[in-house]
Parts: sequence; structure tokens; C-alpha cells
Amino acid sequence: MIGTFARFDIVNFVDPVRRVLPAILLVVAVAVATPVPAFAIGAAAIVMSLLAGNPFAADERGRLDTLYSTLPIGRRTVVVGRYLALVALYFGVALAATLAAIVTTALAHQPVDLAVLGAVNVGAFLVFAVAIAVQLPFFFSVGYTRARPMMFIPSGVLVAGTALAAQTGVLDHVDLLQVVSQNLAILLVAAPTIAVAALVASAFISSVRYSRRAL
Amino acid sequence: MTASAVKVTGLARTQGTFHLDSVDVELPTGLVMGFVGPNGSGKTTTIKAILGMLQPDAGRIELFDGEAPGTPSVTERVGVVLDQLFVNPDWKVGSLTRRIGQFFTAWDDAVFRGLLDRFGLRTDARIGTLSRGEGVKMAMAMALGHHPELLILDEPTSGLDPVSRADLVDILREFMVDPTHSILFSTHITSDLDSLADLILVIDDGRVAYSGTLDGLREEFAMVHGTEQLTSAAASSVLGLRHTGGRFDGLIRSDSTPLFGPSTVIDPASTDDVIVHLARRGATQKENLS
Repeated sequence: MIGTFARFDIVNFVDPVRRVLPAILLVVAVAVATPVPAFAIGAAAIVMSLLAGNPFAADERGRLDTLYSTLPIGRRTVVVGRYLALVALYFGVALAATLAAIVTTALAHQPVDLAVLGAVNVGAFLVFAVAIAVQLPFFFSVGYTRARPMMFIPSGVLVAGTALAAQTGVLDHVDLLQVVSQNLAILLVAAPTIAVAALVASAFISSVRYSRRAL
Repeated sequence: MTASAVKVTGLARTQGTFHLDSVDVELPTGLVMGFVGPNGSGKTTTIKAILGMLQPDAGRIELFDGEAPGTPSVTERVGVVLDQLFVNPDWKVGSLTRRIGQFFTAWDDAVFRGLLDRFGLRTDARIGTLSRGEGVKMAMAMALGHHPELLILDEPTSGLDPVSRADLVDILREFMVDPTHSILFSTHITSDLDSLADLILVIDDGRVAYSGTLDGLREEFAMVHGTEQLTSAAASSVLGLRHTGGRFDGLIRSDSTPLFGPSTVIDPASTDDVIVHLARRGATQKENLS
């Protein structure tokens, strides 16, 4: 039933094309317009974490939490299904961003470094996973309206942190590309592990909170 | 066949200033129970607890002879219609089979579409464009589309025109032809109960004021009218006492009849009388407290 619910959730989310299509267009635009096309993959993480609250908004608008409680599925199924749906949607948009980055780089007659693209994808997935791992327990606990600020807080913290680092020059002496390439193997293992661990822990908390929520 | 469709014992729940206090509900399989009471008396809270949508502070809720509410095996057997639709208004009516039906093992598309046809609902209509009556009919088709044994309806007839109400009552009668079926039916429109309900549960201010048959309700309560000065014992026995132009009227429990003098008129109480006067009593008590 978890798979059934995840599919149901994806269909509901994708159904109004106005949600996912603009996200894809945005990451493609980032790939085309920025000097580093791989930025599109980071943009996918930010955009999809900003959109993670949308299914909860749809739940409130259609009173779908009530619907879920009348369906023969447990609340844990709803929680796990939603995490899976959001991750699947993220992978879709990240794939579009990766393809856009490859095509844009190739059209600019630049070499495509698949290892760097892979590392960026892993890092972006970590950002996305941590962002929704922070957001979703709030949405499941109190619903969209009351948890709405959580849509922006993780991305806001990330952007503010990056801006602060740039302003203070903390990372000026660090060659990020060199650090990544020297630690690529560790990054490729550690980042997905941390991401998955964050999602699992977050889903557990969400499940407990959602099961106690009066619908 | 299970003996009991719903059994609630000592249900208590506090939400803000509202307190649901030790509510008992027993609906044997094969019967229709009307659930009535003034606004804010606790009907919806009780129904939500029975559906597993909220956790009670105390008490025990069992469906189908001992199963816990809200579990997949129970919700598979329960059809639900609430006072508001709980589907996305952007969805089309016909898409409910694909969206909702996939979750129920017993979903019957022929039954669902047959009911839509019977109600004259277009499958390509967006749910948000349906009128109140059409929405209730669609919700009924959704609730009956998976062959439930128990229907739980929270004020489905409120706001419906007489024709739509009659259609709904017809559907419920047909549902009850099967002796394994049961209905818990909350409503403000007590005439629906007169033609449908075997049992009635009256709830007032979070407490059960009456539970039993409709005939028993009429025996349990009576209306008093008169002009005489009431003794304090008589006055305190009147529920929702109202004075107008030197006259008084109110609801009493039948066993309070001896407290009244010979000039007081005592009439049988209708279901509406019981609800109206209980509501009035609740409002008076709240005014006195504030």
C-alpha cells in the first residue's frame, strides 16, 4: 500500500502541470543562464525543497487528511508514501537538471566531467534530503498552514549560510573542486548514507507525530 | 456476522473548553442509529473518534466486535460521508475510481458508476463545481462503492433540498435491506430519523442525554406548558425553561411529572422538542456561567 499511496501522491502533485513543469523549466534556465551549468542540480534541490509543502497544502484544501483516514491504509503508510513520492519527484527534476547541464556544457564545447556531475548530484540530494527531513515532521504534526514557514526555513538557512561564507571569505582559501575530487569516494558513500539516515529518522518522527494528530 | 457494529464505552475527550464526557454508544449490527444533538454538543467529535481520526483521552472504541477504529481492516468495511467533502475540488468525479478505488480490495466500479448514473452526476464534472446536494450524492457513491458493512454519516442531509434528502433516505433504506449492514447517522433533521432510525442517541453538551428507541425517547421526555408559578423543584426539573407573556414551556423527563400542578399541561415531546430544549438549556447554562 505504501507504493500505491506514493503513486497516488505523485499523480496528485504532477496532475496540475503548473507545479513540476515550472520547476523543470527553472532548473533548465539555471543550466543555460549561469556560468556553471551544474548549478542547475543545486537549484533542483532548492526548488524541490521549496515545493515540498505543496502536497500538504493540497491536503488542507481538499481535506485529504480526512480522506486518508477513511481509506484502508495506516497513517504510517501515508507518511512513508509521501516521503517516497517527494524523493521520486526530486529525482525526476534532478535528472532534468543533470541532462540540461550536460547538454549546455556540450553545446559550449566544454568537456563534461561525469565525476563532478555525480558528486554535485550526491551533494544536492543531501541538501534536499536534509531540507525535507527538517520540514516534513512539522507539516505532518500541525498541517500546512501552521507549518508554512518551514517551506522556506531550510533553504533560507542554506542560502544565508552560503552568502555569509562568501561575505566573510571563510571559504576563500578552500578549493572546493579540489576537496571534492580528493574525497570523491568518501563523498559518494557518506552523503547518500547521511541523506537516507536523515530521511528515515525524519519519517519515523513524522509517523509518530501524524499518528497522534487529530484530523 | 458480527453482533455489534459500534461499541463505545466511556469516551472522553477535551478540546479547548469543550469536554466530551463518558459517552457510550452501542449500535448492534443490522440497525440504524440516529445521532442527534445541538451544534457543538459533541456529535462530530464522537464520530471522528469512532473513525479513528482522533485519539480519545479515555474510553474504549470497538467496531465489528472488538476491532480498533482506524485500522485498514476496519476502514475497508466502513463507508463514510461527512458534512463536508474530503476530496480535491480539482478532481473529476469519474477519476475517483482510479484515485480512491485502488485502495479498497472490494471496490466495485459498477456500483460506483451505477450510483453516479442514478444520481445524474456527470463523470467529467470537477468536484469543486458540484452543488451541495450533488456533492453529498457523490460522497454516498464513494462510500458505497466498496461494499461497506457500516455507514457512518455526519449530517449528510443538512442543506439538501427535499428531493435530494428523499433520494438519500431511499439509498439508505436500500443499503439496510442487507441484515449485516448498519448505519450511524448524525443529523439535525429529525424527520429523517422518524422514517429511518431504529435507535436514537441524543447528546447534549458532551454527555449522552438519551440512548434508546425513538418510542422510548417519547416516553422518556415530555413537554410542559402553563401559567402557574413553578415550585423550585419543578422549575429545576425543566430543561430549557422558557417564559413568554406569563406562560412557560419546557422539556421534562417524564418521571418529573408529579412535580407539576393540575393546571400545567403535559404533552408528548417530539424529537425536535428534545433537541431544541436541550440546546436551550445548554445555552442558558453557558450564559449563567459567564
